[in-house]
Amino acid sequence: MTRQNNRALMLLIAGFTLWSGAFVLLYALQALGCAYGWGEWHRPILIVAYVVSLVPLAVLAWQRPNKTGEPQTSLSLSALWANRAAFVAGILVYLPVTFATACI
Amino acid sequence: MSPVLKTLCLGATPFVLAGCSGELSTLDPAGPRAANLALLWWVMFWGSVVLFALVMILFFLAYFRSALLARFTPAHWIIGGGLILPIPVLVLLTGTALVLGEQLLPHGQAPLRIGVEASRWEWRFTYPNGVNSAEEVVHIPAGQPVDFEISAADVIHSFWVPRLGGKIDAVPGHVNVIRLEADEPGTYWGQCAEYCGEGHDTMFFRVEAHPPEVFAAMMEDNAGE
Repeated sequence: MTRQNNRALMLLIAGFTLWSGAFVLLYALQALGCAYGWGEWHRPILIVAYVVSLVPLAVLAWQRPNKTGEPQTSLSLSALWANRAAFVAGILVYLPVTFATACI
Repeated sequence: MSPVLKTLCLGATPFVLAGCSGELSTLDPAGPRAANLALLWWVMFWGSVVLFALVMILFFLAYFRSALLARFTPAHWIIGGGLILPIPVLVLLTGTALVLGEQLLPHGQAPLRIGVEASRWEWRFTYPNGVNSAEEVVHIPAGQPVDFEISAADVIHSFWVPRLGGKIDAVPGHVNVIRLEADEPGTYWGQCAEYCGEGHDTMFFRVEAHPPEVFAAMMEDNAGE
């Protein structure tokens, strides 16, 4: 496998790997906040975690899998769009942590 | 289809439809929270019917009117069918579930809180005045939200009154709260909804909803049962 394909393959799995990590992080913060009674700090912490989680996803979504001069392959194109899908999925799926009831 | 199979299928239809009503039917709601859940079910059901019909129409066209679809390229199908079609559908369904789900939650304090302890294989209810109910019957006022504080003594059970609202786990060492409300006085059956051993299938209980003044009189008489 060429170096370009290696890089594209890593980028292909990077977006949704980060996405799932952020999902677990937000889930944990929501549960811990309720268990330990973070009170009025709970929501701001969740919102900050939401925004911070989206930063690496946004970077990946704008990252060109092939360097300047390298030809675009189906793998690099798949990596680019998989990462863009992960970013949009992050915005949508994590959004409820900013407003939905966290604790009962 | 063979005549025997056809007769069997047609004969079985009323039994399937019978699931739409009855003592333990979520599709026969008797309170606002159960109504939310039933509405969500219908939204999902009709959404799936529309999508199924759409796919079948395209399928039909592909077979019998293929010239009509010849102008679409594979990219059109992937973008249109794979992205443009499912994203709004999923956003709409998730949004509906979020809005309806939020309304189920016990925000603030309900006027009445009843303790529930599940154990193999029975339910024990405790009223605010400390009286325990017997014979697995719990009395509530109709037309008022009631919070049930649910826990378990041994294994995980699940508290479920399908005509009044959703189900919630009864977990040993932890209290879960669910808010239920009955629109009208009547009897509503509940059951354990988490397999908990050999007596699970008979772990029923009954919710008796009374006019508020009757319920208040029962509480004053210390008549938990």
